Amino acid sequence: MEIQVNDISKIYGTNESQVIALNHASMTIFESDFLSIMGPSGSGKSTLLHIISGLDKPTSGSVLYDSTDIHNGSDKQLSAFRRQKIGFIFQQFNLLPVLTARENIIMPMLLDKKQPDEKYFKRLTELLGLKMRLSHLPHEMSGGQQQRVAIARALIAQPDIIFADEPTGNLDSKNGCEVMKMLCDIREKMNKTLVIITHDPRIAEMADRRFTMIDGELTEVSAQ
Amino acid sequence: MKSYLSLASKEIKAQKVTAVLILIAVILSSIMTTAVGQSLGILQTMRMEQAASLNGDRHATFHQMTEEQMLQLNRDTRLYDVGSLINVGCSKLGNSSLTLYVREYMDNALDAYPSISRVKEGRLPVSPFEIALPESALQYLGENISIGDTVTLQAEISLMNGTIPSYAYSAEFTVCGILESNYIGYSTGTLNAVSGEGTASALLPEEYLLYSTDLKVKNTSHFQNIIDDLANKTGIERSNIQYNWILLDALGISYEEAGTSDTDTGFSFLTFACIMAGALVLLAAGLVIYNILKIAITKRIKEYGTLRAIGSTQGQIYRLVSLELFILCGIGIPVGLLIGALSAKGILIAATGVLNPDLFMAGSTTELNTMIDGTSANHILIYFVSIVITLLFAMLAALPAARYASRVSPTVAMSGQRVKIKRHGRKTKTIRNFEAYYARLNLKRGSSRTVITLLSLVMSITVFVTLQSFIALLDTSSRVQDMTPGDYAITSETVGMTPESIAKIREHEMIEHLSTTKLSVYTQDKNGQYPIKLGFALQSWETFQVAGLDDTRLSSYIADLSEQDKNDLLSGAACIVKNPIPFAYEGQAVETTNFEYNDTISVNGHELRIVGIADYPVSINNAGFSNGVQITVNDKMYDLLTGSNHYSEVYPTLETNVDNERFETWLDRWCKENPGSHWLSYLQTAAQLEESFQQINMLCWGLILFIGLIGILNIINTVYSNIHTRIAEIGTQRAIGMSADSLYKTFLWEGAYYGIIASIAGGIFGYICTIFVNAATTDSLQFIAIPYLSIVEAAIISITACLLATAIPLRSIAKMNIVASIETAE
Ligand SMILES: Nc1ncnc2c1ncn2[C@@H]1O[C@H](COP(=O)(O)OP(=O)(O)OP(=O)(O)O)[C@@H](O)[C@H]1O
Ligand SMILES: [Mg+2]
Repeated sequence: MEIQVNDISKIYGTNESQVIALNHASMTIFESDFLSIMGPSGSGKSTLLHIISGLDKPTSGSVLYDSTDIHNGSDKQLSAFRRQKIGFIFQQFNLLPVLTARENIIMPMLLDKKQPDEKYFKRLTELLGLKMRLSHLPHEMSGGQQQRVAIARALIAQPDIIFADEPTGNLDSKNGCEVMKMLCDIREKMNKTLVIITHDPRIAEMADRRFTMIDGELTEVSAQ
Repeated sequence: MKSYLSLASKEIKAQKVTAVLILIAVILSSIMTTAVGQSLGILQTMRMEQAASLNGDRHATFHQMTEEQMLQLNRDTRLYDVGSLINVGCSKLGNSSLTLYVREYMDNALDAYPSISRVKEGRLPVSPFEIALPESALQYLGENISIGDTVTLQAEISLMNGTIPSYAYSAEFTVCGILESNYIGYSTGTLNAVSGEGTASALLPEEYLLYSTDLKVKNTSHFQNIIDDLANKTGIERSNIQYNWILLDALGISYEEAGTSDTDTGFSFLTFACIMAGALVLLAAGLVIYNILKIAITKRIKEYGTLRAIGSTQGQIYRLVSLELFILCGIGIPVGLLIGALSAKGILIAATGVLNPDLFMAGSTTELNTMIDGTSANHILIYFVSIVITLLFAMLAALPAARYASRVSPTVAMSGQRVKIKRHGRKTKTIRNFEAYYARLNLKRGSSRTVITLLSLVMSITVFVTLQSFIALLDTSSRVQDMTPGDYAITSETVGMTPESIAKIREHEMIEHLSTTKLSVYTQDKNGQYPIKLGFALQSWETFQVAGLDDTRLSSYIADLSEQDKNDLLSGAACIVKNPIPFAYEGQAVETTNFEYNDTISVNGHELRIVGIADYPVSINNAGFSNGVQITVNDKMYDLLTGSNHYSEVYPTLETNVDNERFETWLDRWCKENPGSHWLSYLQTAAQLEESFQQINMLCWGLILFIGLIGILNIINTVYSNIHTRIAEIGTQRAIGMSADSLYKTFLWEGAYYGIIASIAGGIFGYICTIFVNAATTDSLQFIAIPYLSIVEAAIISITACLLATAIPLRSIAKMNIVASIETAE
């Protein structure tokens, strides 16, 4: 797996109210990379993530996933791509409030008209310490637990790469640490690629490759 | 959980209020579609049954055929229910305008005519010279005729094309049965007798022995082709083919000379009214479903964004949203179907109450209701169509919401903002009343929701105002219909009542007023002469009638006469004319006499100027009109014209608060002293009429309630979800120091704005619709008085409803802990 981000820009609005959220950003993500992106609020981090993951389209430039342009396909192809190749972890957890933890986790499989692999499901929930919480509704769980359910959901379809936009932003430092540890642990065990946006320098430190974003410009901070 | 689709049922369970509101809308609309569908089904069945009994259960009849031609039709495999008859002859009944037709039916041909073959006494004829006579013809053929008696008929027979002169004969028949009379015979002036097979061949010369064959065509889509082919093969002239247009129209079979049947008007009016009411409710319910679903989806938009982000396709979201509504339809439609089916007959009975039963060829409203009650229209197909229409409408209403949900950008899942807010004007003017200002801003922020809610409210108010004025209109027309000339009618058709005996009634202590009618009906004799001297010629079949009315009734007979005309009418120098009713016989329009305003006619040596053409004839005993020319003059003139001063019918109106029963006993005695007379009470009929107006009134109120309920449903939903989606906002406002009082005001203003705007628009639309309803009932477009009262009522009701819908959920929120309400945001 390899993702090539070629010179993408994103411009919102027109004329005076124009905002350049991304300014000719380029990068390449390789198999089992662990990337972190840092930067001040409003610098364009989320925008970049949305475009790489196929949630949004760039104004110019292209994103190649194993040399196919992901923004060129139909909505069906793009949806299938997100379902099978990509996992998401959101800052606000975004669990479906009417579904139990278990149902929330297996949702991506159901959308793909598949049933989850029970062995994998068990391993995943054990690793995330969710075994006792599977029949709970989201509002019956703590923020940390909710985020762990979201991580399980991101991993259930065995994607190649996981995107996380400030996964600890809504958690206190203790819970945030715990969730990050689990995430890193799993990434290592399952050999997944992870792209994480964060404001926390300690989390950014954990990554192999670190990027910073300022006013839509992306730069890689050379290792050590 | 086996499929992502189970998410739909879970969402429904989680959002009970939304689900219940949608459910109500679905139930209401399926009640309406079922009720309308069933009513239409009942109407159609009735129409077909009546058409068949009225004019024979046949598609067409071939007339004037030889035996050879008749047999040829009998052998044709494309036809069924083929039956033949022979005209034996027709006979004038005494000096009445009635003609008795004697026919001989071969095999089962009589089965096609249920209305003339109901045996009251005895049996149908089987051998030659046996005859079954209609009951109403008996009095003209001799005293006390009963089964087994012989009657002599002076009859004649002529051919339709008139190539040979008519053949007259006299024959003796044995009465073997008495047939039930039917009212149709009277109105067309014909009665039907059935003679036994073999009579015609024994009586008639061969050239008069012609067959008429009734038939039905199996493949009705090629009806005309088959008829044409038969005509060619048998060599029968087109003019000898008679189409049974009443039945063909009812069945929807297309044929050469499409008819415009009178029987249609009543049916099509009801059909139209049914469909309009149904469409209205469907539209209103559709708006509710649209609005509620749209709001529900907006509230959950972040969830749909998340689903999109984790990889669901647009189609899957579409399916999820539609399935939610589908489940609700699955619960709501059967309930609506049941209620709708149960109420259909009741609704129809109430609706037919205001229409003249004649339109349905029924004798009375009671008879009509019995007919409706006896019709079962539980066709599976109709239910199916109702279901499909309701579903279709519901799904159509859900479409925008589903589309909205599926089009949501997956990035919504990431951002904190739930709802996009549009605000065009961003400059702040001086704010005088913060609460009202803030309420206006809130109205604008969900503009499509505001528009839909307003629309549905406006519709409710429009319907309310329109139906109210419709009811008022009915009330006035009911008063007009109520104007029977008196509380009773005392009639003597044949003998008449002498002025001396009428004077006794007039002098009775309980009588407040007495209206009178004199009526004479003249028919032509063999030489084309009437027993009264006329200065003009009439068609041979036309009757000439003179009616004499008392002055009060005469002057109110035609409302808009000029002073001059009125004076002439009252002084006896003028008359009002009722022209013959145009009609077609065997497919051909028959020529009728037609007088016009200001023509002068001479009757019995008196010159009379025509000052008015009447729409309705003067008739007695509620009988039909023996088609012809009728002139109406004042009482004295009648005596001069006819040379008779006998009364045909008088109408006493009693003083108020008198003992009716005592008067009726007196009347019974009076009738014994005056042979040939009998009386009838209108008090009963008036009460019946009143009852059917009550029913239609209730129907209208039912519809108002229905639509009103839907409107209120919409307000409750809008306001409720408005408040609930903004709990966090409300919490914040409270936190920064907004008092509970001020908070209340904001939302109450919002409710008030809905009510006020909707009332104004609804009032205007209601007035416009009122004008149209008025135009439809009076046939003239005019600006009528603005129905202030109902507009004000509607305004008060809707504003109150809006305020209540706001106040109730707000109470609980104002009491809520500020911190708790802020936290509900996440
Ligand atoms: N829909 C939009 N319309 C207009 N401008 C937008 C829109 N979405 C984002 N922007 C602008 O694009 C820029 C980048 O936004 P983005 O959300 O990527 O920032 P971010 O780096 O993720 O910030 P944060 O750390 O606060 O999440 C911002 O200046 C924002 O104002
Ligand atoms: Mg961001």
